[in-house]
Amino acid sequence: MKLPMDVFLGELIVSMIGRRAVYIENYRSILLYTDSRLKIQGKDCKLSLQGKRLSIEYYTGDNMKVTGLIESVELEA
Amino acid sequence: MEELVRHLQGFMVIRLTGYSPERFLNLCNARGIPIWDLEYRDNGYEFSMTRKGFLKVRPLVRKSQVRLRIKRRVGLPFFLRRHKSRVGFLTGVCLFFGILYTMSLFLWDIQVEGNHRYTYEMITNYLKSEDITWGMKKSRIDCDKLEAALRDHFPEITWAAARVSGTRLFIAVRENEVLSHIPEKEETPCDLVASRAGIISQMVVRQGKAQVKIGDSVEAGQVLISGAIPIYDDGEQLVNMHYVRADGDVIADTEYHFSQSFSRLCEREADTGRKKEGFFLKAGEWTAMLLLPSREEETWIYVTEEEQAKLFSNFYLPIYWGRIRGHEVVRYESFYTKEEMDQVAEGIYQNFIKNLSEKGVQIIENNVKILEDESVCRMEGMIYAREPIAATAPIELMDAQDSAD
Repeated sequence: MKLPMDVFLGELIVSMIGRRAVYIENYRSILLYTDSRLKIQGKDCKLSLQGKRLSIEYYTGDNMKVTGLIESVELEA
Repeated sequence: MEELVRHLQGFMVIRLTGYSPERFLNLCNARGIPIWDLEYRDNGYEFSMTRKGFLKVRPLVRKSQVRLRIKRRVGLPFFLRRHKSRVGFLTGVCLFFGILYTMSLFLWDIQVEGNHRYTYEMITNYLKSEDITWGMKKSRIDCDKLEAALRDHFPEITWAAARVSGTRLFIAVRENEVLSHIPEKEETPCDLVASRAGIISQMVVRQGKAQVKIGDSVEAGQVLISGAIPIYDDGEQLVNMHYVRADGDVIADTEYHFSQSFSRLCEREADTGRKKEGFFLKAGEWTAMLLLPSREEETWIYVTEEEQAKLFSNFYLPIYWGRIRGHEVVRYESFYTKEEMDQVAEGIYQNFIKNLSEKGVQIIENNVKILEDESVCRMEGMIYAREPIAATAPIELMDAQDSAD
């Protein structure tokens, strides 16, 4: 069976639209959120977004859209 | 669409502060309570949440030790609750939409395009006779029937399309551009006589017997080409008359005596500089006007701009409004200046020439002079022209015996 890796492993998917928006899928929870930093827990890593005026436009069971001015995206083990 | 549903169901903008806001957000997510437009602001969080969701979050608030404060309630349920006491207002809103809906059931404007021969009034008058007029119910209009009726009633309309859009009826027509019938060729025997006195300059006889020749001077009514053709026997005795429809072109040099006069006095208007503006509102038969009255001795010229009220591009209402602009004038009589007089005279002369040209008259020469006296300006002179003068006239039929006699 050729299942996509994200479905199979449940790993984080991060899609970016320039510096304006980030779509995050397969996340577990929000660890930290301020207007300049957002830290998300994935299956086996943490995703950290740095930026300005960060706002969560929506978040549902496993995906969210973050808008604002994104300055960096980091992954931590 | 989602936004509309949210407004219909109602939602709240909530401020979140406290010990562990992230935990609260994760708990909401785990319970499937939708949260959107989440922002960090002034050491707290602001987000939107449905009414239903808000009712479910009490245990989560306790668990995550946060505080929620409703900042704003948005949407229809909250709007209705807020304005519960304003029954009159709500009735007004309902009445407004009710009237709007009722108005939308009727026809308030008729547009016709593509008509050249038949005027807008002719078509709308016909529609009125067919009970299609302003203020009627739209549902009573049968566009297919109307198209057929238009084609039947107006023979020159070859194609018609009718459609109702909003509160307007659009009628597009195409008129016949060629002759709808071919004129029947006349075969009755006749003569060609001179319609004016003149000297023949050109002549072509196609049928009949020429009675005059080029250079002849003819009087009005004189036979130019006769339709009676005599038939002689070998002894040059007239035995019979053969009657035909005389046909031919006879061009003659003619003269016109031109004499016209006009008064040297003309009425002029001078603007006094006084202006006034007003408004009017017309709803059906009822008209209201807001305009300062003027004195009897004053003369005002008014210009009115009318507009029909409409809600959307094709939702016209039977309400007209507009602006009235007036300026005061003083009327007085004065003599034409030399230039003006020449201009008026030229206008009269050109009008006369134009009428002649339409009849196929070609002007060769003119010696029209302008003569002035104290109060009248006279134009006198001769106009020399070249024109076809042949006109049909009934022929007097004679018995062959009478002719022989």
